[in-house]
Amino acid sequence: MIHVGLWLPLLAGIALLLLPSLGRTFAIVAAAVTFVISLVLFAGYNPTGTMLGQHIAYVTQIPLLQEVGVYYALGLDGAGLLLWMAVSLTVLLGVWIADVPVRFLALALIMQTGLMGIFAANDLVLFYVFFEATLIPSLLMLWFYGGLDRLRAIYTFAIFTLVGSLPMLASVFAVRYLGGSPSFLYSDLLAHPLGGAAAGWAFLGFLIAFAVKTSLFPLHAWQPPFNRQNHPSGLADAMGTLYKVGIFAFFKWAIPLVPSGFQQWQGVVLFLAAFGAIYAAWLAFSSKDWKTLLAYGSISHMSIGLLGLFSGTSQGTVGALYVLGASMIYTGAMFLFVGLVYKRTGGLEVAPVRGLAKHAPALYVLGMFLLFAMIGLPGLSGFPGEFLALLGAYKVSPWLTFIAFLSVIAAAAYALTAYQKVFQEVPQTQTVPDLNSREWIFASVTVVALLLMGLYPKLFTVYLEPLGKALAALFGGSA
Amino acid sequence: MMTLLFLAAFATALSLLALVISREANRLVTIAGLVLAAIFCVVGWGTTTEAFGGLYRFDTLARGLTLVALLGGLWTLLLGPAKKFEYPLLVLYAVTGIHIMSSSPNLVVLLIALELFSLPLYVLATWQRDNKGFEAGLKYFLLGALAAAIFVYGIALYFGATGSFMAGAKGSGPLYVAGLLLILAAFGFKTAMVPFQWWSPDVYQGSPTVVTLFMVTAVKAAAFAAMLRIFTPEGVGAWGYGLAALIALTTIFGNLGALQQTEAKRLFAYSSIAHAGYVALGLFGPTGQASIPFYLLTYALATGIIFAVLAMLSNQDVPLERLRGLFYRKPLAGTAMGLSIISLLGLPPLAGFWGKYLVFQEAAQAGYWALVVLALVTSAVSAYYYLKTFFLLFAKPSEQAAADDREAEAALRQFGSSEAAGSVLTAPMGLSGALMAPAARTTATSMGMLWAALALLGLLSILPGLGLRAFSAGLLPVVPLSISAPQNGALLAAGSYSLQGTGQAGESLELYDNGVKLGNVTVGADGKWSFALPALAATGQHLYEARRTGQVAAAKTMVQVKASDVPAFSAPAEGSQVSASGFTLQGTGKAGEGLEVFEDGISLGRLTVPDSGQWSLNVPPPTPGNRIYEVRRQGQASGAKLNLVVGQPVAGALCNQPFSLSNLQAGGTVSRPFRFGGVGSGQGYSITVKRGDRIIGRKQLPLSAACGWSYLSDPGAGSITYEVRQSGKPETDPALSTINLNVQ
Repeated sequence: MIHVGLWLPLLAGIALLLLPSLGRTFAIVAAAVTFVISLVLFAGYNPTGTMLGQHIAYVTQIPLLQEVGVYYALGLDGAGLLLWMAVSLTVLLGVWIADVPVRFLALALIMQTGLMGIFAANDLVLFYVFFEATLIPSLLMLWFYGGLDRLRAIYTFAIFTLVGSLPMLASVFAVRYLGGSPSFLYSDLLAHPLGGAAAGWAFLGFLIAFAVKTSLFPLHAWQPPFNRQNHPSGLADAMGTLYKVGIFAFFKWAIPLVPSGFQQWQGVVLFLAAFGAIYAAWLAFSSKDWKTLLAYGSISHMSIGLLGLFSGTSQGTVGALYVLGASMIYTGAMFLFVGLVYKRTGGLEVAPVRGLAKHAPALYVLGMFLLFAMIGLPGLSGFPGEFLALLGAYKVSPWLTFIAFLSVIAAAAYALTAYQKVFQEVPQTQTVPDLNSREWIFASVTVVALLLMGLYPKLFTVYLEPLGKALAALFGGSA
Repeated sequence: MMTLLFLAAFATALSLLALVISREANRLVTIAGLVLAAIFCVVGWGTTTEAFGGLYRFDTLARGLTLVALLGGLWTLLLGPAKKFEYPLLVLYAVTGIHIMSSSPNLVVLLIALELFSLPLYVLATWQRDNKGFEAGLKYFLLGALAAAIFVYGIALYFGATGSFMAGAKGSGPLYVAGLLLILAAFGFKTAMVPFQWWSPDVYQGSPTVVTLFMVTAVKAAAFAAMLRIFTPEGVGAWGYGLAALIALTTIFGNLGALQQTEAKRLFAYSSIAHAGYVALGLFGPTGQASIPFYLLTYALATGIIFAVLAMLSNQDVPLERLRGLFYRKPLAGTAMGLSIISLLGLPPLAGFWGKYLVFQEAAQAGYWALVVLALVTSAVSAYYYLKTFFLLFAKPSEQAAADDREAEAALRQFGSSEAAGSVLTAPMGLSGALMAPAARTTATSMGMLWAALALLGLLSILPGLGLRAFSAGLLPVVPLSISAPQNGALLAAGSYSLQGTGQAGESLELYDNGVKLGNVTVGADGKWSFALPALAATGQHLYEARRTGQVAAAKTMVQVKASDVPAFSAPAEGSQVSASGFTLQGTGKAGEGLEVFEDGISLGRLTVPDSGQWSLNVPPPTPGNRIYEVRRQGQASGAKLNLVVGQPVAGALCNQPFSLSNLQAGGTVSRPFRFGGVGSGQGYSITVKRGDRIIGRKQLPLSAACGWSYLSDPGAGSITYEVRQSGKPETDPALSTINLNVQ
């Protein structure tokens, strides 16, 4: 089942690329089937155990390069499972709503396989393969459907990503060959954590690669141009949001494999994350267009997640993973929502688009839900994760947590300002249509997801808590 | 062997026949020869054929790289010009040379092979008779001659140092190092490594594109095959720094050079320089013989596709702008080239990634971390020019490029086989290719080759293990090395335990404890190995490692050994022979606990285990023969036993050591019976036994042949005193030693 779920989007994407006449319905069906498979996986998941590596279900391993210990090994732990679901839901929403050429949808489906592979890979090299390969469809989407100034955005994105992730390969070698593991399998690597003098360097390799994919300050600079230049429908941006898997990668690979390296860099990352959170919130506040605002907003939220994760506490870890999953859905949906606004007004600027509330009240309500989720209003999906992340971080570093907490307040400021400008000022004379039936479905599914994650977080945190405890146990923590 | 015979026979025969048979027939026969050679290359894959007293060695390495060269040769023949019969012939000679180069471990044969494949290439480089062609040919020839000269010089020094022309001969000293470095420089020329790369951009640009295709695919393969035989990891001390410097320069300047190119052939020439640096990383590792051919195959496929596409566009320069929108004009060519560029960049999941992965991990295993990081960082730099070219392919096409296309097609018709239209009538009509009109045939062949290469590249991307398995047939341990017990991070009580693990059946492993070699172990037929550790490891942290010979990378397991609570012996080893003049027993126990050591049931004294958990006891000169030692917790009836053999002392030894007492320090408590003693000089010693002031016994103790003295006592319980004097001294003299004991 896990193999079908993983490869179905890729095969569907390739089919669609070669035969665009299959149409968008085909893409929607593929994405829907993938989402259903993720639900089946979710229902069949039954984790037990107290240590990392014991919570992994649906394990398979087939030798890929057996001579050098590389396997096609899949398996989902609780975090991977939830993020896999978040990805398949967001892709389904995107494919459902975005008004884009069919080949664009095909690229999104191809990218989906890469993303889910990142969460399901149980072999470090295979993880690396998915982590890197996902770059290709992402670049192609930007190239084929991006804005006028896309070439610079592409180079910035590609160079940041590659300069980060190619040297990471050295860390991949180091954890195995210096750690003495017989293979790259997750279980083997966990049994041979890397210590000693090389640990700091090895962790740095992971840190740079994953920090790019978390948009940690100062490695965040690729994201605003990436979002600004991408197709206004927001589909590519939503996929880009899903690609920001840094927190998961830190959690599953970097931290448990190089625990002593984590301790060496913990302080630095905590500081950068706290600073990044408030800095990005400030930039979001002064953003002139929606996509820049969302880019900085997402950077700010990811920084809060990272702060929680790098506290090394159980709560912080759970919070970080929750932030990641929640923001995949609300930021992704937000980008798609912006696409809807664009369709009606033809602009992405925050200021000139005014008073949509009068003409499109349903759109207005959807926007309200999304922005409130983004702010972290209790009851919506943004809240539980940020709360736990900050709580975990508070135990380790109260002052940095306080600084980061200011960004939550700032989020309210920038989100509400933008909201007010677009929806509540004196309306333009030009009328715009409200949601049509397709958009209604999109809106209701999104709002249900936001409410479910906000009101009943326990449904998901039960899968994360044992992981958080196990990770904290590496550092002697129990809370 | 058949491969060599076919290549040589076809080359020789065609040299004569070409004058009489038609050009087309000549071409087809050459192709047939190459195909036959390829078939015999594949038949018997994994086996090794030797001939001519070891001068010719056709093993997996030779097979793999010959196949790469044959592929390049076929490709260039199918796309190449047919106006003159020399073209196929020259390619055939070059392929023969390359085959010999990759199949000989003998340096002199390598030199001949080098010349054999270089000379045809010099001619091929000048195929286009214009200034650029002449410049390319002359540069290639002059620098090639220089490289050959350096090679000869290196061979001479190598022979002087080792007395052998065979690659991999053991040697040392400055002469050996100098010889190897000169040989390295010669290969640096051939593989275009910085600073020996100057010829390559000009030659690649000036030669016809199909010839460049052949150069980048086949020639690199040949040079690296020879390098793999000469620069073995065992001799890394001699050539390691030299090669590391070449690699560093090559990866940096190759990539920087490519950044500013505006002409495609030149750009990929620089890219090929950079790739030579990456491939060379594989030489450091233990399994480079499999990784390097894999890399070269993926590289040859990707570069081959790129140059084949460029050859479709023009045989002259191809400015990068010509590539704009290629995907829309020629979808297959554009897609193939795009995928190849991504493969060269090394993005997964394309085969180029696996190639890079394999050679980089070789260097990582050998511990060259700085080079690995440098190679990775420069790979990231290369992303700029690769992506630039990649996106050009998918850019909106310009009118200019389309017009250039039409013009170039006309020019190609002049150059390519289509201009041989007259010869079609005389060509044999048996082969399907020849049935078509030549122009259509060229297009169909290049499309077919593109599809084939693309399919192979795709196969290697999805199933890299297949390729590696093929190249490592008979070479690589398939099973990864591991230590399965004790588990990493385990906390073990001191005691005897064994290291266990898995490996390739039959291979020999080296085992280390905290970097100190413990010994070798051979993996059993079931793929498992086991090694009994010296009876008792010292307490503390132990990093056990198992390595394949010559590798730095190791399977590791780190354990904490804590002192066992149960008293036990750690030295000497069970069953070993010990000296009759006394020795030291060592063991472990719970810190602070009282133990008593027995020899054949006779107490040697009590002791308290120190905080380290390790105790020792000096045994007084024992009687030769088998002795059983036992350590018991105080008050217990039995404990750990140790069987030792006390050796016969050497008779007639001169006893001149000062008097000493080994065990039973004064004031201690001991169980009866007990024994004490030591070594000394003179005739022996006399013992006076007292209870209080009352003398209860006397005994003369002559020295044994091992100069030892020993007293076995079994008195009643209570306090007792022993006075030891030199034999013959009166009891009024002060005693040498007075031992007060409390007997229980």
